[in-house]
Amino acid sequence: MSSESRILLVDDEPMVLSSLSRLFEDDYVVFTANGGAQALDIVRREPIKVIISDQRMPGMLGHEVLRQVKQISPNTVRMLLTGYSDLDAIISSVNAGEIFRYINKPWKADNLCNLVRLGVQIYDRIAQLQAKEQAKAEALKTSSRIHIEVEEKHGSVLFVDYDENEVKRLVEKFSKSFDVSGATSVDEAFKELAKRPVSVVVSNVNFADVDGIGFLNAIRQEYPQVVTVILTEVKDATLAVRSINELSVFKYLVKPASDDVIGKTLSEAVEKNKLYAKAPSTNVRQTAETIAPEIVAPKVEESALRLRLRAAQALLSKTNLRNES
Amino acid sequence: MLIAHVGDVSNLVLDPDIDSYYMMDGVIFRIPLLVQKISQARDLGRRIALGDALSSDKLAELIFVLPGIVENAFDGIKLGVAKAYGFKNVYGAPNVKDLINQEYDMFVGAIGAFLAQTKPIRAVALDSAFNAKRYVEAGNVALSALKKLYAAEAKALDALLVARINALTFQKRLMQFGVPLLWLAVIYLLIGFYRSVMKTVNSLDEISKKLVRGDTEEKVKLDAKDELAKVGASFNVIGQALVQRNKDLEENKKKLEDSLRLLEESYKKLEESNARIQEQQTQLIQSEKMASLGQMVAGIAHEVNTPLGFVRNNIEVLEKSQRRLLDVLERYRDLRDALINGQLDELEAKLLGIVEASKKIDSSNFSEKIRALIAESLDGIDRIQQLVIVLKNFSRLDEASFKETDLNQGIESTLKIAHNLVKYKAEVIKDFAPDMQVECFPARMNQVFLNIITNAVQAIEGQGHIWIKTYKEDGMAVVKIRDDGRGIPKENLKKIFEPFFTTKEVGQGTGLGLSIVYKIIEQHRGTITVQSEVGKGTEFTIKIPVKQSQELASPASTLAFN
Repeated sequence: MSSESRILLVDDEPMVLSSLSRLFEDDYVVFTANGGAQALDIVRREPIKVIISDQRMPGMLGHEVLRQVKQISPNTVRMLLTGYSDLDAIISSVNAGEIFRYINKPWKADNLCNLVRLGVQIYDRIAQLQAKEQAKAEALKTSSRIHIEVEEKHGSVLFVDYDENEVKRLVEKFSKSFDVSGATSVDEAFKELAKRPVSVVVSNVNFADVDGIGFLNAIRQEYPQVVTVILTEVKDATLAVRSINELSVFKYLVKPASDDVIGKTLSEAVEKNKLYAKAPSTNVRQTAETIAPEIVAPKVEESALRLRLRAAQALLSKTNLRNES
Repeated sequence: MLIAHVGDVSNLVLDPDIDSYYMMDGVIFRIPLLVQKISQARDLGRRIALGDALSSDKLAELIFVLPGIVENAFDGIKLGVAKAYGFKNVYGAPNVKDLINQEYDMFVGAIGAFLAQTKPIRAVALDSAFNAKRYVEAGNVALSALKKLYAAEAKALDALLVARINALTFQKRLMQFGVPLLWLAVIYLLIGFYRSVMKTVNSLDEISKKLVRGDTEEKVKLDAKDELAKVGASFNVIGQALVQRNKDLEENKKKLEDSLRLLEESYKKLEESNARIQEQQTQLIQSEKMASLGQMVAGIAHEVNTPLGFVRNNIEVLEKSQRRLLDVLERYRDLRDALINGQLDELEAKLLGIVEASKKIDSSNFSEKIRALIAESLDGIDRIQQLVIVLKNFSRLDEASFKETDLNQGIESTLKIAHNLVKYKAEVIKDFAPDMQVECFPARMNQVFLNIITNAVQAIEGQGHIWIKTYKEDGMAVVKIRDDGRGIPKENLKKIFEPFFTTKEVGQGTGLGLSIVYKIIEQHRGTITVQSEVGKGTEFTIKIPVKQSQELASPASTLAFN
């Protein structure tokens, strides 16, 4: 199956294209394009499973190419090769949901091979899930005329920030539109999460003692359907790249963000959460984790965080039992 | 005389100055009334005592009216006498108290007794002859006391009047003898006044002299109370004002000295901060250089990263291929050993293994692939080497003096340095004259080109063009760099070579780039001009002499941007 898989490489540098082609030619059907226009042509023509594009190219920048690829072929797993950290472009590409993975130049051939293999698997798995979901939807349509509309309450949102006033403000501001709670520390957040189902976590990543991405990742692993939004004053390319590569964050908002932007993001995130529940195929991250946990393996620190999270859960269930008895 | 006087009531009452008439009031109005009323009461008492039956009117008068009147009049007299006792030395008259004291005591006692006698009658019985008789007796005593008091008062009044007459007489005499005396007094006063004026004037004079010297706070001694006094007073005011002014001046002087000291201090601080600013400016220029260096380095890093990326990738692919080759080789070795050792039973399996393992390396594609991988890797390494050479050419660190250099080459190496920046934004169109050998600082000229090309790239929105033209003209080398970017507004055109002028956001540029360019061209005794039109583009024209004159040949001291 894998030998039939088509992948597309995009770079304005022919030497890079030929080099990468040779890396993949034994295992995949490799297409190459020297720029955005050519790449989009190929994507329209061929069912491309994985696309790797250089960021810096004349004419169309890589993230723009990937953005358009997403529209043409939403299931194509998109990876961006960057040798040059263009912060604003990275953050905007994070928020546009264009990219599955950032790859830094110079890359390591083995890693790249693994990532492409994973990408292909994700593509196949998602196609499978989608087929199943579609069949289920069809069956539902024909079997029952009565459509039960479960009027769900607005999504539940957890704000996490070290700044107590900020949390208080956000909770007050959005308590009308969403079911909100707040936490000013990692442990507090874990307790909140154990108390009730949360659909969206809006968190800073700039904590004194804990790696923010690791913290969010721990949450993601325990509650795969939680949609994560980063709201931080740290505008940092490495962090943005990590937020995608390690976390598949939904949005990366840089403070000061207007309440309008936050509100809009929350609505979108809640929708996303509902979509995850309805159609798990859309949760690319979770799919990736089920296929290749070694590539998105939790770090040591994350494991420690998960232990803390579980401890919070255990503590809470114990107190609940006590209260009930 | 006295009685007559007393009788003449109007005369006495008219004189309001003489307070002693209070007493007169007591005497003149109350005593006759008292005498009359007490006599009336005594007579009525006598009639009762004689057995007369009084009419009810008379009886009521005796019981209620008369004692009330007596009591009233008694109080009036007491009040008058009390006041008269308070008077002192009325024109040398004897004290009223001394004159009437004895009689007054008697009078008070008698009237008191009378009223006391009449009380039981009023309270108990009217028809008791005994009571009536006592009534009459008390009346008699009171009347005789009244007479005596009357006499004493008359005597006192007499004395008072005598004293008054004496006083009037004295006044009359005073008028007779007093007027000449008054004149004398006036003359005396005038002399005194003159003296006092002179004293005031002298004092004025003296103090003004002191004031002029500025060493007094004295005031003019003021004896007189006239216009001169006013003058003196004004003088005093002026004097005090002067003294105050003097004080103020002193204070101002002190303040001035203080400010001078402060000024000196702040001048010193200013000098210090000036030095600091100069230092910071040097640092800024340095940081501008570092910033452009940083930009350059980032560009170079990207340029290096690309060949590095594929060379590394190629080597990894080669490694994979080599592993396959080694695998086949190993199998062949294995087969050979088996043949040598005569282990023929496994030959077929081993051969099949070799065939399988060789599948991927047997194709013509494989050797072609290896050849290409090696060739492309070498190419990549060449590119990295080229970049290093360009960097070396660009910086020309080994050349610290004017050198005959090909400007075209300088521009070329600059373009290579800026390649990463330029290639995504602009097409470069070169029009170079063949011979552009020029005496210059190659590294600095390259900095000029890099600065202007960088600005051109930044001015281009989307995709654009950069035209670079070189030629020689009248002993000058000319470089024209034109772009079709957004252009510079007229109001900014004059300022672009000024240090710190920038239209970029804070943190984006120091605004020193073009000022450094200007300095460098100045050091080459050249000119740099700019033409720009908003929306059309900008053209920089650089002219430097082909040959630098001799005295500039040792430039180290004149170059600030070394």
